[in-house]
Amino acid sequence: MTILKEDTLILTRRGMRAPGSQGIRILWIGLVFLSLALLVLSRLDHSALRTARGEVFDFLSPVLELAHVPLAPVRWVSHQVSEYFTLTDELDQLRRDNQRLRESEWRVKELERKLSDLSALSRVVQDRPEKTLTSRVLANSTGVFVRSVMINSGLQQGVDNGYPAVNSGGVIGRVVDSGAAAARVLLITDYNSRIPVRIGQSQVRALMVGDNSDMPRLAYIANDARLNKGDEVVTSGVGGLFPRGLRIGTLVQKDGQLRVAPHANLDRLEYVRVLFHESPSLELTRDGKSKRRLGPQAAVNGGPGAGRPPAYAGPELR
Amino acid sequence: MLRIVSMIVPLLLLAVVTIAVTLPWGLPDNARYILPMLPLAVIHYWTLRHPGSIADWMAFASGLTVDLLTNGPLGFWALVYLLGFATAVVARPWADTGALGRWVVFAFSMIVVTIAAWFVLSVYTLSWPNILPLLKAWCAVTLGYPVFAGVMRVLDISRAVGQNTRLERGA
Repeated sequence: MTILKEDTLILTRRGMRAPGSQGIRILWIGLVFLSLALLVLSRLDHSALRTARGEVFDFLSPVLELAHVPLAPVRWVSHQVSEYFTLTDELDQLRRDNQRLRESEWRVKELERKLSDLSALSRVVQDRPEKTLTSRVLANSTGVFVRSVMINSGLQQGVDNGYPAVNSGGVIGRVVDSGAAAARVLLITDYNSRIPVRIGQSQVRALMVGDNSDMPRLAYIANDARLNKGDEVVTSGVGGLFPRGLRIGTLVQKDGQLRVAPHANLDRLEYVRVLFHESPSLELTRDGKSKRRLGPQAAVNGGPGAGRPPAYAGPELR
Repeated sequence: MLRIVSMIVPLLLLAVVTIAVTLPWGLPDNARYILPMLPLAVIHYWTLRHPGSIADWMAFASGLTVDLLTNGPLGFWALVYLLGFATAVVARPWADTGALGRWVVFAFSMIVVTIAAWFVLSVYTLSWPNILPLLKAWCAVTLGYPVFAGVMRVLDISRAVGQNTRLERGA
């Protein structure tokens, strides 16, 4: 009699196999077909998949929150190590910046005074201060497909589709999908990101287009535009999705194309600040699903809609 | 009891690694493929060493979770992990070739999976994306496999049980 040992089981007859070890099964083939079907649906951007994704985000967000507990010390160590290596360079840069800022400080004060006088004279409408909410990054996307991060605030905290997200460096993206307790922020480097910007002191207008590379490219720049390497790129506010004047990055030239080197380190996002920037054009980008899902609850919880009727309250509310 | 624990460990390990790869570790942009390839090492190790400890549906579920949490196209990593599972099943005859042999088997399996992933990516995007990031990830995961396998070996309770089993003639 042939005695075969497979794993911890003793197989006493020829042809006997351990349970679950019957090679490639029919189920495997079925799952491959299912994967391919899902890929096709993803390619077609089926709405059912988007809804399912949102539900899964909400379901898994507590798990991801928990997973961040051991992650924090790892990130801290990695941050310390990288800081140690870049500290000398940073110190030199800071000394130079400090010198330059001191030189221009008196000039800024003078301009501020003049601006305040002129504003008072011409009765300029002041920009409303934006409400903000700081959220932690729970997960980030990988691969060449999408550049986005998932944050731990959603409709319950008043975070809705279209709101811009920034960090200490500047603009990082905008909320494109908000669940009850989590939301997805599409980064400025994503293929689908389009942001109207102004460049440099000459205020040249352009469109910053993400292409899944580290630096978004600039499109629709006037032929006679006078630009310099290192010019500051800020949001222009055109279209209303982003407030005017938010820092994004600096102008660089790479492979013959004008690109923006973002100030924010998009690979190491830990916390982001969501700006509750309401504008009429935002309503056009929303499908009405997000606010309808929670309705007045978002307002009750102290979101930007607190104290006023919800934007989508109406007959269609269930 | 040990049998139940030995059945749970691979599943738990796969779940933990799957969640871990979606967390923001702050890797540079050109290293984005490394993390999603780590569950392949778990799938390969357990499928090769203990057939049946990780089922095909577990590989699929793991891949689908990565797809969902990373906002990638649904089905991409699910398909890649299923391919990783299949290569491990095919490589079973070489499971007893020693540590070095298993490393070579892993490297070979992963390069097949990497090329297949690149092909799927090309069909999905209808273009020829740069294969270099995927090859870098393959290099990193292959080089790190001995360490990874070492950790899994420590957690491999069924291996310890197997070592204690004494087979005698007529038993």
